[in-house]
Amino acid sequence: MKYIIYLFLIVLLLGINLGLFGQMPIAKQVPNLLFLFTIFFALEKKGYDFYFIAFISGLLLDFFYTGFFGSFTLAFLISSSCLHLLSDTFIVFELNWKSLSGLLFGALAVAYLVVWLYGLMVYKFNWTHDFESFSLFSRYFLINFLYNWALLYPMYIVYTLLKQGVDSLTIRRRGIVR
Amino acid sequence: MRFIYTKAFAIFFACLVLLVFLVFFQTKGWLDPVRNAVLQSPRPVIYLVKGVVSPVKTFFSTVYRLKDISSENTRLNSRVLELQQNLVQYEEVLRENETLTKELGFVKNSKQSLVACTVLSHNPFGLTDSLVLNCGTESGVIEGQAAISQGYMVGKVIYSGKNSSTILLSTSSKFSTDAKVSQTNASAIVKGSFGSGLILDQVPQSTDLQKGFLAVTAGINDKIPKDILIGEVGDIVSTSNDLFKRASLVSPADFENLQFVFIVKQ
Repeated sequence: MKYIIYLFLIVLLLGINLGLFGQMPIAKQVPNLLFLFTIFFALEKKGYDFYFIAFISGLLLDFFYTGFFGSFTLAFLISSSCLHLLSDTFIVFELNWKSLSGLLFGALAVAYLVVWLYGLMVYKFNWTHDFESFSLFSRYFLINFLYNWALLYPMYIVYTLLKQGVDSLTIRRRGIVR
Repeated sequence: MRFIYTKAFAIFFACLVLLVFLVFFQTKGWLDPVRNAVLQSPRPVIYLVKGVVSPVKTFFSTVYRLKDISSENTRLNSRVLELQQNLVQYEEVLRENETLTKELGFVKNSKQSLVACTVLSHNPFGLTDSLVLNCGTESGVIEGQAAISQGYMVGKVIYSGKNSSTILLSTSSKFSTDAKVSQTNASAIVKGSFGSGLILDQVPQSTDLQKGFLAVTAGINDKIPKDILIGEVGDIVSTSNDLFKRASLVSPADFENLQFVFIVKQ
């Protein structure tokens, strides 16, 4: 049941990303709400729901992306796995906005690096005619990060509300089973 | 405990294997029905959101551009008067041409066949200058065909699936097409310029090239018919010492906010 709710919310966020933020680009950059959503799940110490979120979000973005299929899925999986590993193993303090901003920066950098490397790899294997140069990614990275950073808190509210909803649904279902 | 022996790694590896299968299916084209469903799924939300946001955005952008709109209005009024005068002369030339054509027995070219397409996505992550459209091979759209908006060429089809296709915008640095200068018939090439404009290149130095001349497709490519407007010559950026003349091209098409385009079928 919770995965259906996740799927529904992913499609909703994608629609909002395209419909709302697609009309408000800054230097041709728009935020990636699905990536922000995935980050919050990846930072949970327990649970592997972030794999589902990352896989489905990446897949949906791949269908909209005109590059070789699989770029965003792989990028989301790798960056969320790295975040989860970091949060599980090294982060012992409670996250604050400073550390969250740093993690967002790192995760975004890893994700875009994976997308670029993947594009380069499929080009080298002759599976595609061209690839995007690194300057295209690096030129607008800072603006992209700042735009995503500005939406971190609203997305955190969405994430918190969703988790509360899913947790209360789970408790209610367990109550019925009893 | 080593990471590779953990449940997390097992799930990660399973996701990777599943992704490899999906990539294989996508290259074979077996994921096209899923792709169409995914492209259509957020559309209700997009329409709802755009319906709310567009009027607000239009209001604020109109207020911001009031001064520009006023001067543009004055300029366009004088341009309309100038074009009306030209129209009278062209109508006379057209009448003469029709008479000569009848007498010489030339076959007239048929009008272009157009496929109307809606823009589904502006490639929202700013990574490529391309658009995803809601028409594909079922509507007769094939790779290499030109896309036009408001009568001007805005790109060409680079991928065509069953019900969707992708066009590369003419402002992309990867775009190029054969062209000619309408007034002098001189051959040239039009290229995109890093997402911000168009460049008319490789115009012979001996040819006259002035601001206001029109660049159209030359028809050398068999998928793109000739005489499709691309843009109007702006500033001449080359010097007399260069091998060829180069100029910027101005197109009235709003590449950032395209919502509908037409694909030109042969």
